[in-house]
Amino acid sequence: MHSCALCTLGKAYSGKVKGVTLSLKKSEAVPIEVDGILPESVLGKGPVEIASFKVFVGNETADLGDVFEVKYEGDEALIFEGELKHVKGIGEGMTSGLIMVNGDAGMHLGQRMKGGTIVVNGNLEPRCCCEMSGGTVIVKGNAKAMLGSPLPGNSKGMRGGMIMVFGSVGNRVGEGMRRGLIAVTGDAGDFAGANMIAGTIVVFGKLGLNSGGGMKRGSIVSIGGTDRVLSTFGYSCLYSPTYLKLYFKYLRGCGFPMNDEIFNGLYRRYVGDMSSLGKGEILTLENS
Amino acid sequence: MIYNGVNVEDTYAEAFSMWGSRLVVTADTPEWAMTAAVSATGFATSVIGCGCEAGIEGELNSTQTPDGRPGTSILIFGVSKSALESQLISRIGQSIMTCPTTACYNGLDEGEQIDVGGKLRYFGDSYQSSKFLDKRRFWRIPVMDGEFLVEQKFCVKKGVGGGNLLILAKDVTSCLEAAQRAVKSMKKVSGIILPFPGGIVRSGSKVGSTYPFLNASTNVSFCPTLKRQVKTSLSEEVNAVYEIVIDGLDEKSVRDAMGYGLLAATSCNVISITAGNYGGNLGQYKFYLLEILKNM
Repeated sequence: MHSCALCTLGKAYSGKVKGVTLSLKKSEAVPIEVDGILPESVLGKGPVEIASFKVFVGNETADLGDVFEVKYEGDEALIFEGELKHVKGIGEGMTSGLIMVNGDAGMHLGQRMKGGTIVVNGNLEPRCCCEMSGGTVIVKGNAKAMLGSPLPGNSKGMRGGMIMVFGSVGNRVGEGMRRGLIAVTGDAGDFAGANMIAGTIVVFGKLGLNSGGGMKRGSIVSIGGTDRVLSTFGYSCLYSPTYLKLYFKYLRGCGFPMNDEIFNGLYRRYVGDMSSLGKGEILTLENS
Repeated sequence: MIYNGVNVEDTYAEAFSMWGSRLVVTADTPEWAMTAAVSATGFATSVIGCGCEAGIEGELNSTQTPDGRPGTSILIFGVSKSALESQLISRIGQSIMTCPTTACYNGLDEGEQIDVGGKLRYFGDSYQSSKFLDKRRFWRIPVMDGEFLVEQKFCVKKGVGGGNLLILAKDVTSCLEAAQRAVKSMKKVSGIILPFPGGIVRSGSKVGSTYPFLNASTNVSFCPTLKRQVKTSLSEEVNAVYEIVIDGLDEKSVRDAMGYGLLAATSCNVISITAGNYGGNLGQYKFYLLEILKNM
């Protein structure tokens, strides 16, 4: 059950990717917005043309070549390098291809992304992958608050695709999530999956407080358990869900840590949120 | 042609195009996966009387199944897509969903898709829920030991039904021994099933009958008891005939299985091996015995 995204990922991990590298020349506090600098718009073009693309630096426009050093080695991927914490909108609206980020990435990475793969070899700032509807984002570090959440003023968050975080995530991960999968090897902050409509969040560490508050449907799975399940959730039963084995086998293939206890263990099922539709669930591994 | 002292007739098996599907049934133990598979493929020897032809393709270990549990692969064939869809819904719903700890997944990567889990889900009485992983949708149906997980879409593709071998021997014992050895050998080939009990048919049929209400009847020319009464295909010394019918997901699988069957049967104490056909006017596929044997 390995998707093309994972094949691409394997290639990316092997270090054999030859692409267009954008190295940030100078790290500044002024945000740089690179929305529109995507594999589908950049790859296949020459370095001079790429360098002439426009980006926002603060409230002014600048040539991409003024902010990033452009190096062309091939057309397999778009690679960002440097201190990218203030570089916003990497892969925003992306539909295909591969982006690799070597360093910490700024806000709005993968926002409204529809397809393709983003691999981040670093940490993520808040509000990344908001309202994404397809594709895969792999983070080899931690992600801050509101990963896969709705944009301000909207109610629906992630609508499809997959986010894999090999680290911990902040508050409100998967808020308003409607479809898709978020998997986290570490812990999750408070309000994970709040107002969730559907989809799946798997946290191999511990869940924060008030997870699933207001959720209608969907699944929040925690291997490390949680200190408190909201009182608007009811304990349902102790069982070993078959669908989780399906997810775990898939995630194991993606490099998530798995042991027999996680794979075949019993899970406590809490259903809720009864203050909403009440068809969601929180599953915690027994004895966690 | 005489091969290994056995007369292999210069003839062909005439086979038909059928729609085929592969189901992967998993359960907590291999025994329960097999129990579900046996039930789901029961009473499915011939489309004429059962609505479909089904059989167990093989056992699967935990690395070969989507959910990492032990499983069984089964193949089900029907005469049309709609007939097959109806059979899948009935058999998964009645034989697999009802069996403890099971789940059921599509086992084909190619072909046209039919909706199975999407219809079975209504058994959940509005408490069913779906999961979407890696472009595949699964339905979780609440049942009394937890949940029955079933994939929404199953692929169906054009396959081959009715490949066959007829083994002729001097008595039942030697004929059955040869047929059993052939079946064992043919089961090594993936993508095929032998839908009859133990893979062997004793009541081979012909098209039509003397009765207007019956569209198939006993194959009189291969019945030893009817020698001297009808135009027989059997020599004096033949007193028993068994047939092996093969359905496969593609032509090559059926051909390979027939080849293994021929090799195994010709190593036994039998008189002759032939195949059933209808003069070549009905089926889309012809499997020539001598050609198959030559390529083995």
